[in-house]
Amino acid sequence: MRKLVALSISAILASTLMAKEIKVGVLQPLTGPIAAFGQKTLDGIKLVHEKYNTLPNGDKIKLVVVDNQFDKIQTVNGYKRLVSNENVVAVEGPLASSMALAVKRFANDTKTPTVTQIATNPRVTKGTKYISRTCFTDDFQGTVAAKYALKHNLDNAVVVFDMKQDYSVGLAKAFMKAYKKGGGKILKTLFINTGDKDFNAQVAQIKKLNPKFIYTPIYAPEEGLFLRQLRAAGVKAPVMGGDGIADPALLKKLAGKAANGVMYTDHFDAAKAPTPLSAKFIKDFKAKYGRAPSAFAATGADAYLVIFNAIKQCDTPATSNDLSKFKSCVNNAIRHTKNLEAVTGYLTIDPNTGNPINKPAVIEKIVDGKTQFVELVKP
Amino acid sequence: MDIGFVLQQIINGFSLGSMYALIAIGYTLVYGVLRLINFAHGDIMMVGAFLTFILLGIFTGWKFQHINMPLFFTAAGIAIILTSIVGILTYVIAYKPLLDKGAPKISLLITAIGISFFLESLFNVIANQYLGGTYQAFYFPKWFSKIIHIGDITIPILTIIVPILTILLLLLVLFILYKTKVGIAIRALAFDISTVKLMGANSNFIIAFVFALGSALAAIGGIAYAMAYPSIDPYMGMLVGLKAFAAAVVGGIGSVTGAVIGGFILGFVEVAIPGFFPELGGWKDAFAFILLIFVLLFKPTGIMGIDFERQRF
Repeated sequence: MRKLVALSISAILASTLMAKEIKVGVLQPLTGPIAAFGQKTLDGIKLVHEKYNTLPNGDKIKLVVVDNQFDKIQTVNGYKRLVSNENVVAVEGPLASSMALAVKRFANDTKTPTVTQIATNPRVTKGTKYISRTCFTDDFQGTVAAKYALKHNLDNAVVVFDMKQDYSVGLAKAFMKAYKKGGGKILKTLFINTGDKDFNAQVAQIKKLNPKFIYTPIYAPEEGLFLRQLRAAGVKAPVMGGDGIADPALLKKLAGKAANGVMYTDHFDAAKAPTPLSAKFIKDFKAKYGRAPSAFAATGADAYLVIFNAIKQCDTPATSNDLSKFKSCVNNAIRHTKNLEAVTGYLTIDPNTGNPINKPAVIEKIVDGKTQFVELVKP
Repeated sequence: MDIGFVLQQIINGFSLGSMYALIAIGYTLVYGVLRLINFAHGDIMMVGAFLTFILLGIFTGWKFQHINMPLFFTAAGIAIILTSIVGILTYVIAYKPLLDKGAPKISLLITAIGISFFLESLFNVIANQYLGGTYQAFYFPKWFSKIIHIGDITIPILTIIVPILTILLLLLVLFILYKTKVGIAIRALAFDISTVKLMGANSNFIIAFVFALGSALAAIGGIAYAMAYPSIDPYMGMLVGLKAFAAAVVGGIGSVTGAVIGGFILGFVEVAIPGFFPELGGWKDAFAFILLIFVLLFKPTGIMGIDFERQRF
């Protein structure tokens, strides 16, 4: 007993004497099928964390990184661990919509401010005060794709989506709604499953329907093989996807030449820095990693900057009892982010919905194995 | 529906079915000897494909250019041998200690699932740390992607080679089982392990041989699968492994010929469903397993059903 008292006294002393450490959780898929996305995101987070880690009062921000393996169970466990064991102030992530939806209840229960940088499904932030996001939603992304197709007179389409992914289902719906509203005709919706490798059945259908446009709101591993089989069958219609296929290197690797011409909507293009901070970020990123930052790195940095900015506005808690008060202050500040200079642009978050206001999208195209900027679309 | 289309579906079914069959043989052999459903077997197939990829990478300096036949077959050959060794190691490290201690069969099953996760995670780490990502494109000589046109039908050359190879390997396995000393020993072991030990036969060697043989076939299946769908990842063995297991059960687990027949049937269902009913394309996995339940309802021991008290393989 005496030992215990001594220990706790020394612990309290230590914590009051030293500059405090404030923990921010990072929950990303660092292994598993979309590990590449999580790794790229983490690169971006680490780069801004190096620069923005000290609060005005001298307290330091420490990142606690947890791998969710793109698995719902691991995501929920990881989230609980961050909140209950690590006592983090806020969580950045998780990356995919299905995973963000999986932690929604726990974010509410534990009142933990959670900022997802790239979960685009509209349901992610609906009906919760504690999950915010720094990216556009699929409603917007789908509309951008639909408008682009209609503008180029591609007025009938086939939609191929992954019925196992909330992201894919939601984005397909958003696209179809906007496309039909604009006068386009959906010839057919076809579905696939995460992990499928044989798309010949779907391709045969598409070949028969001969659509002018093919919309594929799926993830890159499936898209790569789909493109390969589609082009091998002689289908030439333009293909477009969402940010889920925004991994040009992987598409090229899996589809080879068939990757040429594929388009996707994305959050950021390193060739078009929207803010001074963004230009600096791109320069530092290239110096550190030897390549241009992807949209994942940029959005990862964005969410961190939002959290950092919010923590800066709140008083650091003296004891752990004040943690919940601190967390609610941070959450409030996140929700009231206004014109914050970030990597993908100036961020303003709507306090009611938790979604950013006026977030533009870019359309990218793979030409001769290289990513090319097509256009910037503002809401 | 013209005859050409039907013929094409049949060829595709044969081709996919042969890959399942190659993996199913391994399930059946191990089950016959140890009464163990080796759930890590699907991942052994992934190991075969990945090792071929890694060896090709080493041979070509990670450029994957100018891959000719001798180079490819050397890589595949070494990969198949290494995969057999991995198979033996799983037995020696994971299963044998449990068997020696007389652990219940269910513990072995759990261990098999553990090995499965271990292999997946191991190759995930390797892929992410050294190969630059979870997903890798699989390279092979251009000749294999040749397509033969007969009238309206397009036949990728691979879809002819793989079934022929499967039949030849089946004959080889049957030859080993029935015409060689090791084969006799394997069949004896399937009857009664203790008696075989009493006869002075080296049961450990024979079981290790069974694992090696099954793993080599799985590796061949994995390489064929990677050539047909040229994208490999550490999780590729999961679903294929489950389907091969279903094929082994449909065929009658414990029967090598049954495993091959089961593999073909499963391949046909998977090709026929999306081929003839394109709307149901996304449900093809569901149908494969519905078939499994259906067959078991009417013939609980599978098509080549074996009564384990009387007959083996």
